[in-house]
Amino acid sequence: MPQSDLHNSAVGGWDVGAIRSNFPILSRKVHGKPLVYLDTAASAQRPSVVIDAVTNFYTGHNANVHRGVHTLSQEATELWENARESMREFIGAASCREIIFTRGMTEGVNLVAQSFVRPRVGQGDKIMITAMEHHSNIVPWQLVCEQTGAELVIIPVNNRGEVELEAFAEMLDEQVKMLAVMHVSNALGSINPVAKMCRMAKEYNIPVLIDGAQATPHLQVDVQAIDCDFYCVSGHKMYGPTGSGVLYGRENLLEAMPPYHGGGEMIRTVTFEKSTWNDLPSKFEAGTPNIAGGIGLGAAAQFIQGIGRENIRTYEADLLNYGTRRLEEIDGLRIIGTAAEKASVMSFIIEGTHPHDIGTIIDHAGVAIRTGHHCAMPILKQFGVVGTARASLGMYNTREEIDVLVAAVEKACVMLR
Amino acid sequence: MVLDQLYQQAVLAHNREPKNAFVMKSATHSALGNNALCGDELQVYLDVLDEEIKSASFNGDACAIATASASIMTEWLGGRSTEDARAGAEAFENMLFDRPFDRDFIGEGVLLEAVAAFPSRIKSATLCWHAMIAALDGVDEITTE
Repeated sequence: MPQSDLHNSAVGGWDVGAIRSNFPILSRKVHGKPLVYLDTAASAQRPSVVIDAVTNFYTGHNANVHRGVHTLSQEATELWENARESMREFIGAASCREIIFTRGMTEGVNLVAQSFVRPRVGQGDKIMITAMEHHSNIVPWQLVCEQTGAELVIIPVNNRGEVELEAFAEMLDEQVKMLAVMHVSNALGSINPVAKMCRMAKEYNIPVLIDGAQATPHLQVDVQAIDCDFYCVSGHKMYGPTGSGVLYGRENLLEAMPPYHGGGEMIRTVTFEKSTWNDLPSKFEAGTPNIAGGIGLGAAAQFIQGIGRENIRTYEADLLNYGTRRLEEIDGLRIIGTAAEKASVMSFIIEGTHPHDIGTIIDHAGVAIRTGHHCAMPILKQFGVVGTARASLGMYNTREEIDVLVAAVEKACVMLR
Repeated sequence: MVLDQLYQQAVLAHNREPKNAFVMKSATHSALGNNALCGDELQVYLDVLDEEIKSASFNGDACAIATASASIMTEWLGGRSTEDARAGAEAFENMLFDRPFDRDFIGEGVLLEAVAAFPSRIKSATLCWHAMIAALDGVDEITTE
């Protein structure tokens, strides 16, 4: 199919060709075929505005932040703090003091696990997660449990990939000291009812952390409306640079927490006898941060807001329905994860084939998907599989690309069976 | 094209109807090969007497390349010395890393030569060989990533 014919689909006034023109990498070829990138859940591609923001920082303003009186340092600081404001607005936080730049979602969870939860739990206490969590929202809590004697308890998930809310309600009690739940599942696509879960947890005064890595590229996120205590954002999943991210935390909780990392920037005064901590958010930003990454992330947030998350949601929902329908036409294919509320992810297995072989074969048709356990081994085990093939969508994907995927998978099945 | 060489009919035949795909209750040596990255798991069984592998088998859930490789390897191992088995593992790995190897020695193993062009799949092809060596060394489980 010629490149020009691939991307003319316009749904409800959405001009996907114009969207695609923002992403330089989408014009490249893989094995001589136009790239069909269906691995956004692993890492999104970057629009020119993000790439330009990073380049612009290095070529025009590069210096350390919050350190110098010279012009470049002041410009760098201004760009950095503007990016923080962009992220505050993007997730609906009340104050920039609640926006901590991190290396990604994983660092956000570890920070909360060690600085907030670890000092507050001990034997007999429980930390609660769901059965569908990504390893990054499992392992940090296991570490805290090992350190404190607290118990990790798991909210069950049904065979569609939805949290069992009744079981969750029954599991809530005074011993639960933390609830951590993913907003959108990377392996199944399920959108979890996080606002409702927060309300239920609040009845027992249980603080809640939301893993928003797969939510911010696809959904409107408002941390005040969700009423969570912490919300973790991954930069590279939302079209921003790798190694960037944000942790939102309620100001009163962050104020009361000890620092996570010690070093420069996070202090007010240092003597060999005692140091005192800087104000929020600097208290949690030890060392020179990923300045270019944070600035790029701010640009990504503005880019997404410029397009409009409602528009993205509407377009991607249509694409997800179309893709699911087309994939289900393939003989022996089973979709893993059929929650009523889903975003962006089509995880599947095909009888008589293995995901890795499918992935290798369709790569030669230019189609990039993820195969394997998606860093969510426990939930795949529940579905009785060790891995799946996963096609995940971004704002730039098209129905025509879904057709290329389906044709390539069908060809792979013929080859393998 | 190289993809057709990777998934050539002779390889796919080993995947569809693998040889020696069973749990060997009488095994003297056994080890689990676990590819942590992709979730492939193969248990390799050996029946060894006086440093000779009488027979070999495998069991598990793995991709076509790993399954075909295990089928080919277990066929090849039957009746060989443990010394030959170790040499076979080395020769097979040399083939996949484009180093000199004895083509005649590894027999049907050359069917998987095209894997060398797919770096992300080399671990699939070598999983059974690593498990076999682990079994000989008395290690219960080997993880590759």
